[in-house]
Amino acid sequence: MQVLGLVLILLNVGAIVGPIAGVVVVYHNNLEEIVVPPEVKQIVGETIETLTLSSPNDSGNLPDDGSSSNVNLQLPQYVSASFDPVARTVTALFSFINPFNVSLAINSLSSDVRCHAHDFLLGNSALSNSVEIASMQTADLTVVFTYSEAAQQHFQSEHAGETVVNVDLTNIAVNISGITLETPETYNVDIPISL
Amino acid sequence: MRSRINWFGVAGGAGLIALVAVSVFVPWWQLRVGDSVVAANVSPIYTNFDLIGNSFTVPLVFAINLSCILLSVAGGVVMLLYSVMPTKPYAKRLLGFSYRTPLLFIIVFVIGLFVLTFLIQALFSFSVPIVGSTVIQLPQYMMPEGMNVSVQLSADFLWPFYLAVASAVLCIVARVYHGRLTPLSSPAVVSAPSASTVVPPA
Repeated sequence: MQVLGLVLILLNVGAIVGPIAGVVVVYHNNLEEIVVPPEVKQIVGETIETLTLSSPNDSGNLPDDGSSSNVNLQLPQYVSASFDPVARTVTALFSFINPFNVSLAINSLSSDVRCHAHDFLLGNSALSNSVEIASMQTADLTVVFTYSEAAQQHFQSEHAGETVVNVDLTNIAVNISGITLETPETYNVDIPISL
Repeated sequence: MRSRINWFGVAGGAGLIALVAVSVFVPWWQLRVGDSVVAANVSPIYTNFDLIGNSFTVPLVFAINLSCILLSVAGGVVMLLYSVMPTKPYAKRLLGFSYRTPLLFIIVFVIGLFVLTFLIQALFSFSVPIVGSTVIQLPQYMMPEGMNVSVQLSADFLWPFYLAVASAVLCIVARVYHGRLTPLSSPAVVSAPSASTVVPPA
């Protein structure tokens, strides 16, 4: 009976002390890694510290070999736009690179649209549909800019005869896979105001 | 004729061993950030973290998990051994060793979750739900200047946690039921010394 009790106590102590002692022995040269493993440092180095929304005018930097080094989450890149005077909308196409090892969902994207020359609020823009982007892939985002009647008058009075207007997208908010980013950066693009 | 097997112990012991097997694949508690872009999969048996498509474990936590696996398997096996011979003289010692294991795991695990969420609240000034979902705004010092980031956090206990609760309940019931099994054998055990009792002369 006493032997059985001793065996059970030793079993308890061994099960608790053994694995912890083993890990301490394995990591005795660098005890910090017991709590912060090297993989975490690598992930932080590659992902978190580079998770800065770079200037929209920067070129995309998805690595050619598809590796995740030097990933950089960028704002969507402007591709083209089309104008609908009847609906008072400008439909803009943006491309967005997913530099991560996991698929991302762009659930929403919105901004205010202001005339760059006159800082006049023209309207606002929003993503037409949510988009799922696979890992290391690029997808097109369709953003619809709806401008106001006041904006139309602004175009007629301040930009008469012009075919494009330089606008700033401000108060940009992007919801990526449930994480909402609101950036103070301004996105400057030319949009068509005539067919 | 009464069974000499403690079936509650059998179920509790088997449940404890099954718990180890399933907990390697399904956590007891999961915290998801956004649409699982970041996730913490936590259980006493196996804890790992997913960070934007990368999965990792913390060696110290892994060692604690390994300890819990060994204790669980030992507890389950000892409980099964006890259950098939509950009237042996050493049965109560086996039962005493094993019946508390799942209960202790659950108590330590739940207290650990509360302590963890309290620490996160104290260190980073945002609250993490234990069950349910919430939207938090990350502190400005964590973000590039001028940027606001709000994140949806959702947390839930998954089914292995409830299996652990069921195992703990079965093990406790096995302990209670042990008291109803042992009286069958106690007369023989008790009567033996009483038969040989010698009353000392006054």
